[in-house]
Amino acid sequence: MALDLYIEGFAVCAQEPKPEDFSPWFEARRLRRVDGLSARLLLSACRALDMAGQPVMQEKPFGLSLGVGPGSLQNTCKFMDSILQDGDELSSPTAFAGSVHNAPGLTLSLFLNLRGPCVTSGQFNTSFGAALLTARAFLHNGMAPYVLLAVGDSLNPVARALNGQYPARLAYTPAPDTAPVQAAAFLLSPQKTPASKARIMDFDFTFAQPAYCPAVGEDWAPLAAAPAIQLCGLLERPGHHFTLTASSLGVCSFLKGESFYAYQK
Amino acid sequence: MKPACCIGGAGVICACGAGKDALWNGLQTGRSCFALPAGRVNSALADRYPVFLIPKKDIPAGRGSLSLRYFLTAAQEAFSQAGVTPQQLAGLCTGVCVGTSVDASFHCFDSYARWSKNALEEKDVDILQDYFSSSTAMAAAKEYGFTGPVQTVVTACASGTDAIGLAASWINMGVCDAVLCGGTDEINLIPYDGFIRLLIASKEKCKPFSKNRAGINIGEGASALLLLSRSAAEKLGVAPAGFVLGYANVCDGYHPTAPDPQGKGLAGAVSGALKQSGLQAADMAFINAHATASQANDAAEAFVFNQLLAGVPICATKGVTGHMLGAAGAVEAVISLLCLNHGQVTPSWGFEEEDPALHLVPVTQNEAVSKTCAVSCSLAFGGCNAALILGGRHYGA
Repeated sequence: MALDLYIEGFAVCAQEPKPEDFSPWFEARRLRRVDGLSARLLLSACRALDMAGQPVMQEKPFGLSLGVGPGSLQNTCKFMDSILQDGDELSSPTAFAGSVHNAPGLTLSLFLNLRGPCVTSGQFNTSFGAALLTARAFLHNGMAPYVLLAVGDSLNPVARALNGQYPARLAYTPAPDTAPVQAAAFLLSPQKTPASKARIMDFDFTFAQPAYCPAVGEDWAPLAAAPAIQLCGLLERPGHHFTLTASSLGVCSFLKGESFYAYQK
Repeated sequence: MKPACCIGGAGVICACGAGKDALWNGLQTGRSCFALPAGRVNSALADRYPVFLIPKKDIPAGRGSLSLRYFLTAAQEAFSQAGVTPQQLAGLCTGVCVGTSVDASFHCFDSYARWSKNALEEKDVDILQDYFSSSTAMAAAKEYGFTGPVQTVVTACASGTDAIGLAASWINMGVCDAVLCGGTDEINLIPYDGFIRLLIASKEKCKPFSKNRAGINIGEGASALLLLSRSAAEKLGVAPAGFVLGYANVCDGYHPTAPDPQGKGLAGAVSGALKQSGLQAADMAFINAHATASQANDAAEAFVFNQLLAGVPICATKGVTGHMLGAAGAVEAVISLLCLNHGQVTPSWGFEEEDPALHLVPVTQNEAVSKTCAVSCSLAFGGCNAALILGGRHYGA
C-alpha cells in the first residue's frame, strides 16, 4: 500500500512508570486509579507529543489508535479473582470496567484531552500493524489532523507460567524473564511539518504473505509492542532508510521509510 | 455518483435465530429467545437476570469458539446473498475486519480458576493456547484463504460499527478489493457478572427510551457483511444489497462506563459520518439507535437526536436482540439494511411509556419509509461513539 505518513514524535516506555515520570504534565494524585497498561501507554504518549512540540494537556481533535495485545489482563484477572474470592454477587465492577479493551483509550483521551476518533485493536503480537492501518484510515478520511498511535502489553501471570511449562505451544506468551513493561507511542501526521522526524513510505499489513515474512528471530519478544519499540530503535539509528518486518500468527507487517531524526539531533 | 463501497451481501445470527429472514420475523413480531442463562453461565446470579440467547437449534456445530462459529455462519449467508464463493474472493485482495468484545477478552474463567488453585489440567493448555494464538478475524481469514489485512476491533459495544466503518475505509483507500467484516460475541460469565455488578442490567426485558426503563439485557449474536469496491462488484457480477456511505468515531473522554450526558462524542460521530457521506439529516429515513435502555445511554442519545436529527424516525431493536456487545453495531447495521430494503422501519419492542425528560418517542409500529439511507449509532465503554451512514439497494437509483 503506497502511504505517506510522517512521524512527528515517538517514545518508548521501557520501565514501569513512576508517578514522578508524569510530573511535567500531571499531579501524581491524578494517576492513583490508572492501571499499569494505561500508565505505560500514557507516558509514551506524553513523551511523543512533547517531542513533536504538541501540547500534552490542551484539548485537541487528535485521533487515537491503540494496539493492546490481549487488553488489560491485570484488570481481567482482578475481576476473575473477585469472583473467585467474593462470589458473583460481590465481584468488582471497577475491575470489570477496567478490563474492557479500550479502557486505556478512555484514560488517554481524558488525560490528553483528545477529542478525535478512538479505536483499539486487540490481536496479540499483530496489534501494531492493525493500529497503524487504523491510524492511516483516520488520516486518509480527514477524521483527525494528527493521530496518536500507542501500543502496549499487559502480561499476565498465567501466560508467563504456562510459557515456562509449555514454551512451544503458546504464541503470545512471553518468556518468564521478558520485561513486563513495554509500550511505545508515535504522533503521526499526513503531511510533512517542521517537526517531522521520519516518513513512512510504504506499509503492508497482510495475512499469510510469506514473501514479506522471514522467520522471526528467537530474540524477538512475542508482544504487541515489540515492533513499535523496534521502530523507535530504527528511528534513532543514523542512516536515512529503514525497513521493519514483523510476522506472527500468519499476519505480517512490512514497513519502509526514511528517517530525518538522526540528522536533526 | 455511485458510492465506492458496496455491500455485496449480509448474514446474521442472533436471538431471533439464524438468517436474515428469522431476524426480520423477530423484528416484526417481537419474538426471540429471552431466557435465564442456566447451563450457559455458571453464576449465582443466573437465576435472576435473563439474557437474549441464540436458540439451541440454531447454535452452529463445529470447532472453535462460539463467537467464531457464529461469525462463520453469518459469513456463509453473506457469501450466499452476494452469489460469490470465498474462492472467488481469494483471488482478490480480501481483508477481514471483525469487531468483538468477549471473543478478544481473556475469558477462560474455569482454566484461570484451576490455575489459581495450582490445579491446571492438560485441557486448559489447549484452551489457553486457542485464546493466545488466534482470533475470529484470523480464523476466518484462514478458513477462506483471504490474504488482505486482518483486524480485530475492540472498542467494546461500538466494535461492530467500527469494524464496518474501518473495513469501508480499506475499500475507499484502495487497500482492499473486498472485506468480510462485522461483529460477533457470545454470552460469557465475565460480561454477564460485570454488567450486573455495574447495576445496569435489568431483570425484565429491556425497555429502550421508556420512562420506566430499568437497564440492559445482554445478548449474543453475529453479523457479517461482504463489502466490495465498485469495480470488484462489477467484476464479480454482484448487484449491491446496499452501500456504506459514511463513518465516523469520536471519543467523549468523559467516563469509563457512561457517555457524556450531552452526547458530545456521539454528536461528533453523527456529524462526521454525515459529512463523509455528503448527506444531510433530512436525507435519513430513520436512525437505528444504540438504545440499550440504560438511563445514561438513552438520555445522551435522545439529547443528540433532538439536536441533530430532529424529526427523523428512531428505531430501537435491543428489545428483540438484546445487547450483543461487540456484535451489536454490526447486527444493527444489517437491521438498518433490511429496513431500508423493505421500505419499512420496525417497532421498538419494549418501549412502553414516553419519558418526558427525553422528548423522544421511538417508532412503535411498522412505518413505511421512502428515503434510501439511514444512520446507525453505537456508544461504548471507554467513551467511544461511532456512527455509520448506510444506503439501501435503491440508494442513488
